[in-house]
Amino acid sequence: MQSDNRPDKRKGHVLLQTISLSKHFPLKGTSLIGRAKAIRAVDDAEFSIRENQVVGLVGESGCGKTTLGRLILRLLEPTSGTALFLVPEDTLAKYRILPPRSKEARAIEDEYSIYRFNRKRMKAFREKTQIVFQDPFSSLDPHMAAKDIVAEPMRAHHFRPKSEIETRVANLLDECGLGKQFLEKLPHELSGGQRQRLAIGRALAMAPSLVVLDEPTSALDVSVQAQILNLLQRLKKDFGLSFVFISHHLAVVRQMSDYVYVMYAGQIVEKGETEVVFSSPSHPYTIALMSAIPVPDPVSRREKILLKGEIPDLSKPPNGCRFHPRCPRALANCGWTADEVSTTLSELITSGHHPELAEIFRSPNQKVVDELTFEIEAGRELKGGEIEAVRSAIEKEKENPLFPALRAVKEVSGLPDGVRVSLTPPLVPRFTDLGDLHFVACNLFPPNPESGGDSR
Amino acid sequence: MIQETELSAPAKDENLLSVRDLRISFVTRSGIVQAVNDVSFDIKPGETLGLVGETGCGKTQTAMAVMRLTSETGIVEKGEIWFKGMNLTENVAKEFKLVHKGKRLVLKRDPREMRRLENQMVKIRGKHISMVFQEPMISLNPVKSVGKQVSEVLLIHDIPRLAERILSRHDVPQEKIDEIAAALLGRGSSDDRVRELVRSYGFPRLEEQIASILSRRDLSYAKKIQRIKELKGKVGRSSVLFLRRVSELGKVPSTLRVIDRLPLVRRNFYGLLEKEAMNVSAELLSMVGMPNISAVLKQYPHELSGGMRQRAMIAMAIAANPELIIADEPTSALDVTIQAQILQLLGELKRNLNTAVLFISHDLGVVAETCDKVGVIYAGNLVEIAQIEDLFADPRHPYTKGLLSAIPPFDRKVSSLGLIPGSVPSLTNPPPGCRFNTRCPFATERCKQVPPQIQVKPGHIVRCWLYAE
Repeated sequence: MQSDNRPDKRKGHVLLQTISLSKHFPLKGTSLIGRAKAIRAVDDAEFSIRENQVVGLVGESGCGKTTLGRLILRLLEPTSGTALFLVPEDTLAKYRILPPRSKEARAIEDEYSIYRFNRKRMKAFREKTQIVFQDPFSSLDPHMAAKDIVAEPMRAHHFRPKSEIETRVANLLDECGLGKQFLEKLPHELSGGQRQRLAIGRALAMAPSLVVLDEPTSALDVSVQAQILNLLQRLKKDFGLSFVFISHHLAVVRQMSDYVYVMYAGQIVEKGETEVVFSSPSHPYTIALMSAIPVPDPVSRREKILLKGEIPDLSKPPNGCRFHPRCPRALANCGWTADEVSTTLSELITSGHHPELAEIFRSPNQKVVDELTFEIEAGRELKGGEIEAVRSAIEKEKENPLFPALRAVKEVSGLPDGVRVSLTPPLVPRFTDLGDLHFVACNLFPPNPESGGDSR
Repeated sequence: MIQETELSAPAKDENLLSVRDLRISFVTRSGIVQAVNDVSFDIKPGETLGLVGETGCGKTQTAMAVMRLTSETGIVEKGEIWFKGMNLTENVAKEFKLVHKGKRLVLKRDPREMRRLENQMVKIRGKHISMVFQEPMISLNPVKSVGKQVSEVLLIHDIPRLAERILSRHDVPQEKIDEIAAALLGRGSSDDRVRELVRSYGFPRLEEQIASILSRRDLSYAKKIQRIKELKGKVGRSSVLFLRRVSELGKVPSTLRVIDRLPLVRRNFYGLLEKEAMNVSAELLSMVGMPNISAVLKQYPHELSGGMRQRAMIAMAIAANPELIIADEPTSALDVTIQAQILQLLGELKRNLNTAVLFISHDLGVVAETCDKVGVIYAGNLVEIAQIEDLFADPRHPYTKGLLSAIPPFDRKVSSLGLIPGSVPSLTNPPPGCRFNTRCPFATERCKQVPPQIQVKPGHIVRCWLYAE
């Protein structure tokens, strides 16, 4: 196919690179005072894909993977940040060290940023990028025959010569495993797998260089999924395509991608070559996610890491590392706030693990002073020994996985009618290079000083 | 009519549920769709059977038939469903008639027979067999609070238990309650010692209540003691008489059911039971690991997250202590980490309550982790059934083999996945004999005959000509 007209100078180019890309969806009912409320769907994402590469994007629902996939096709406008398309490596390196909003930086953005493209360049960009959606039932026009669905992008982009469109459609559908008998069929006459083949054929109509596959097999049965995955692998090889493969299904991502990004609550937490990330996952979230996958082998029962709680509300994401409230290995500086620690402390008091605490605080009354300080009133003056008892009880429970928030307690001091607790200030995790192009953003891996760590 | 006495506990080796040669058909405009054909399996008490298969293979319809929830156009054409020695499909053939109307076949039902079967099932649904559905948002009532919905199960099926709980609190002398509270206050006394103390008083329903207050994690220690102190509430004399009658009869007396409509009567008698049902609901929610119980009781399903909704569904399913839970894709709408939580919870409950589970899933991974036995269904045919280890280690049916090889492995990269060529046949006009013969690589002429059931190993049955003789 048209792969021959790709100029050689594109070697040494990055197909697409996003730089601190964010998307916040504003919420209705913004309060007059204070900041506007928004769902922070994607925050500070650094994503890159090269020619002929399959990049996997994994995470649970609501982690921002679909939003990121749409941002890089400019189906959504970002809140901040930029995405550079077909940018030469040296220009990219230069852009990274330039101060933001400087004249040179702007010049580079004008040239390469997909969000700055004018109509004409945007049209060319649309030709080169395509998307396949999850649900093959709602993403195909029910009134159009299969051959028209595939021909539509060619007509829209004024494919010349017109006379060739018909043969090209037939060839494309044939490549996707739909023979001549399917040309005239309407979507409702096709099964789920056949519809997804049709959607893939439509995506390939203009010989794109980048295709975003948004959960392409999630609506399909296992045996059909296997057919589609094998088809995608063959098409990639035959047409020299680059895929962004978005999925919540880790095993599928492992089969398909060369490089993988793991997202949690709107942020990328780990990235690296697929084999490296899957053989030595490093972020506690990635480890838990991988251990949670049910394996079709009843004999090897692996130990599961059960995460407590659920995915946070992204209109008010947790401080510091967004994973810290569920993290089994959270540290003191992972972003605990006074709210979280005081709730945990009252849980400790009521749990009965420490009867002496229950004795001191009969009905604990808490007051949050600021992000990092709170007070508990006991309703009476505490004796020196009692403050020491509180301190040692907290110290003892710091390693208890039930109360990880207590790890953040830095100091416990006496007040006239209770105690004041102050916390360790949070440290926002930055990407650390673990070698082998494997990066993780977690405080368990402090950034290596020589490389300075790659910021999110 | 079925008497409660018939539903006594089965003997040890007896099957709790037996399905024999089940055939379910749907009468549609385009003809009769045989959604399920020739499905047979057994579940023993406490056992978990998985049914796996792809979309439209009839696994859900099998479960729905057990609960008699098959939709209006569907009929159980053939076969038997036995639950605890009781035939749930007795005279089921009397219920409908197929009449020719022009060229088409039309379904006519007998309303009297339908009512009879329905009356029989009402006593079993929720009480003996309960169900957890795939999409909790659709299957929970959007206009009833979670507390009300869980209570409803208890008020329908377990009224005597509620009455006994209130009575036990009425009957226990105040001194004994004070003794318990004092024991709890005393330093160093563990919960176990308190439980032993309560046991010595001889009020089993009270024991249950105190144990559940002690296990609540959302209450402070002081509040727990306060709750126990307040346990002994005031119950009017006439209410006590009413409750005693309820606990003797095992249901609300029918005379009272009528005057129950009067607001005063309702508040005095029925209201007591409703309040008690709410207490039990809180205990059930704490059993399923629901956070923030007191708030959740008053919340509506849309205010909960997917995982929490599924926990509420499970609380409703276990409310009346059923012998069998049918879980229809209980985790398919959830994320992996939440799925792991729910599967762990189901496993724990199953062990603690010794409930049998019919687990329906399309995910062989989930089945491998939760079930003891597994049946594979293809296009309405049960093609293979075996102990879980046998099925995964030594699959026999070509379809099972194909299905297993199509799963993308998680621990290694493969160059290409195994394929089953073609697609599922139409069920209005299924291929004769083995329904897999259109896609099977080993298909021969004899596959057009119905394949025999072949036992390749004790408990491992496969329906395939390959293993004949």
